[in-house]
Amino acid sequence: MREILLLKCGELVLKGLNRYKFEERLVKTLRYRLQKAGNYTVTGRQSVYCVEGADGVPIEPALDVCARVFGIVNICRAAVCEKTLDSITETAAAYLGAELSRAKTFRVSTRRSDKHFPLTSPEIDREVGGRLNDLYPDCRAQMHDPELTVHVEVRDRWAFVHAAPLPGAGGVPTGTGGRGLLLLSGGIDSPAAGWMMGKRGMELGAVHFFSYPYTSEDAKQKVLTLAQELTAWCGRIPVYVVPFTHIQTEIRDKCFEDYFTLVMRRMMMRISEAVARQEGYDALLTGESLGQVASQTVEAIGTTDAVCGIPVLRPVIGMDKEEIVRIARRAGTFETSILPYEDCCTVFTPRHPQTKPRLFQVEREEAKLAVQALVDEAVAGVERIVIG
Amino acid sequence: MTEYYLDNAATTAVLPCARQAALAAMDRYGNPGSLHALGRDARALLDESRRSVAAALGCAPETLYFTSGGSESINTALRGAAHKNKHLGRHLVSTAVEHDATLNTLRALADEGFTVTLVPPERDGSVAAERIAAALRPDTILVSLMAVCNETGAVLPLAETRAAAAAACPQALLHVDAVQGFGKLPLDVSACDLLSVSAHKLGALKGSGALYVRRGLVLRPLIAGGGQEGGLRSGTEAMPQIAAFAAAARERSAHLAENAARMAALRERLIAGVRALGYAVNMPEEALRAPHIVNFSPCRGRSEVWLRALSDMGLYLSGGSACARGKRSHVLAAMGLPKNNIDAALRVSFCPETPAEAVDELLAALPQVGRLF
Repeated sequence: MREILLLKCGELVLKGLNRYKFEERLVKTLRYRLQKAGNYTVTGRQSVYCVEGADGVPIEPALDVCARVFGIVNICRAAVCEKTLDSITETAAAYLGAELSRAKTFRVSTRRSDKHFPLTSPEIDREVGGRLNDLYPDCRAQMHDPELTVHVEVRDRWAFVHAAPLPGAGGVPTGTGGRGLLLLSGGIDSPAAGWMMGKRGMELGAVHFFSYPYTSEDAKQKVLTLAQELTAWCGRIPVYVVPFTHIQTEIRDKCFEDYFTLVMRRMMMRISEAVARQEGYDALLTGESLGQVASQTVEAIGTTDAVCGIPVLRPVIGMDKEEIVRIARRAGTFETSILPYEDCCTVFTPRHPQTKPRLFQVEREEAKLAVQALVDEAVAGVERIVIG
Repeated sequence: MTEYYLDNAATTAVLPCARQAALAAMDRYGNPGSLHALGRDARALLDESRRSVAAALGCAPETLYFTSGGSESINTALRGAAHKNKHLGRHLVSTAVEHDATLNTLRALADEGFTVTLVPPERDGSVAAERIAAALRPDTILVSLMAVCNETGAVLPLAETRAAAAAACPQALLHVDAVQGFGKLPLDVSACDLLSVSAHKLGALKGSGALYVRRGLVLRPLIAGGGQEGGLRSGTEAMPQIAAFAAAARERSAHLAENAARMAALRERLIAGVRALGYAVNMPEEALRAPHIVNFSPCRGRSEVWLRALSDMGLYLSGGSACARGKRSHVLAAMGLPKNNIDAALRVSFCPETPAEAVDELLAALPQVGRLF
């Protein structure tokens, strides 16, 4: 029996004249990622893509890959058969025999995109359902809320039989949502934020602030591991590692303690924007969540946004920690995020950070630094590490 | 860049004589339990090694059992002694500055229904004999003490504890964790019933150690098997490790006094130097200091940052104990030191080969690193 994957796209079908761009991008991503998993071909029609392995190549590795491709809403692992009622029934009995023996109730649900097929969808439902019922008399036909739904799809060349579809990654294809530069710290929130924007089609880069020797090589490695985990969803991610030690010691030596974090965040934004402009990113992405820490109050965010000339997207801004953790678990980054290495944000933490800063106060503290020179120095020292 | 290894309490470089002994033992590969000539040859090497380590410890060879290291020796001693004497009482006494091998074994025994009293140290890291004496009860069946604290280098009062126990709880067994004391200080095994040592703190290989068990005392083994090591520790003897252990023990015991004096001189020089820098010294008075360990704290920054920066300058030391890997030192916390001291505490430990300029390099590097904070 030939087993294939049918990948269903969601909101792509709602796109207008540029729909083909989304589809092209999706197919390109699928082919690129699948090629690493084995010998598979991708064919597509009517916003449904079919993934099939070469002879003897199992379908499971392809399923793992496709489940992480944004733009696919659900995945049907299906058996292929001839477009005849006999073949459809035989295939359903063979492919879903175990399920049919176990279930108490079932129904057949047909979609017929080949309108030349002699029977209509409800007629196929009845006919195949009746024959399966003869084969499995203990499994009763039930139209409303059955235990098992046998899906039949009659398409151009073949018919397909499958049970319940598996959820896909959702979202829109990578690379159709512009390019975003993620501020990646090593915590739980920033990888989750990157995953969410990746889901909306953004191609990601990441910027990491490295404060050796205050933070360790282990902390940097952790960030590279997080980027690696995101590549399974978002594809290749360049990580820009910014030398940040000098800026932090300057802030510590010259600024009033209560403003350490705010001045530091503004420096991070400036450097990130410079890297983004230089490398062609359209927006900065952060894992800020309103009120989670002192520098994430709306007043504090106002002072950091004030120095940034490109959009700053904060996809987890309205989420509780548990919601963010759920996303991080889904993205597969949570277990890495909780490894106990200090990140740059906690090196010089003020005892009494400002939670309701006024812009002029922060600017006054910052005036004690040679801001542009420090930013230039940091940007010049950036190390680019491509992951994936 | 010259590298200076100042973390000898974590582990030591393998001495040339130990390396040679291990390599030679690999060629004499028979099983000491075999009856043929190769087996007899290995048996001879095993007996000779046992005599060497026993001589270095000052005990009879038949009272010395080879193990896989300090942790196994301690586990065997504490579990064995507690179970042996549980019909006489269920109270165990130790100190809050012990190594985790001891503390976690005692915790496991506490879960089995034993009561454990841990004697706190003084603020300087020493443990007062009177406090130990006060913790002893008529139903105390086991007292376990370190010879030398691995974090502060404090020498614990073994003789006084022995005397106090003889009066308060004569049935109690005394175990000494001599992992940091062996080869550094004269040890008197006649003052204790059980004593644990490790080979890799002495210039031999990791995965090797020994347990002294007073003659006549029979303990329940942790590992059942072929009955090697008098049935106390089954498993084919690790001959290369054991031969290396013997060679290192011979070498270190032959020069114990001069090595100790040399390291103590380095220690005092380092202590004077860090005091001059205004750092806190987390150690007892001079008479109670082991020769090879110095614990001090700049009281600012965090140990791991100091260690990274010093490592980049070729100076390898540790914060607290190497086993703790970034956790807060339970020893310094038990001493009641302030948080900023504990968080930045550094431990330097010497071996007899440590060059004097290592101390000078370290003293020159510390203020440079201090500028990070």
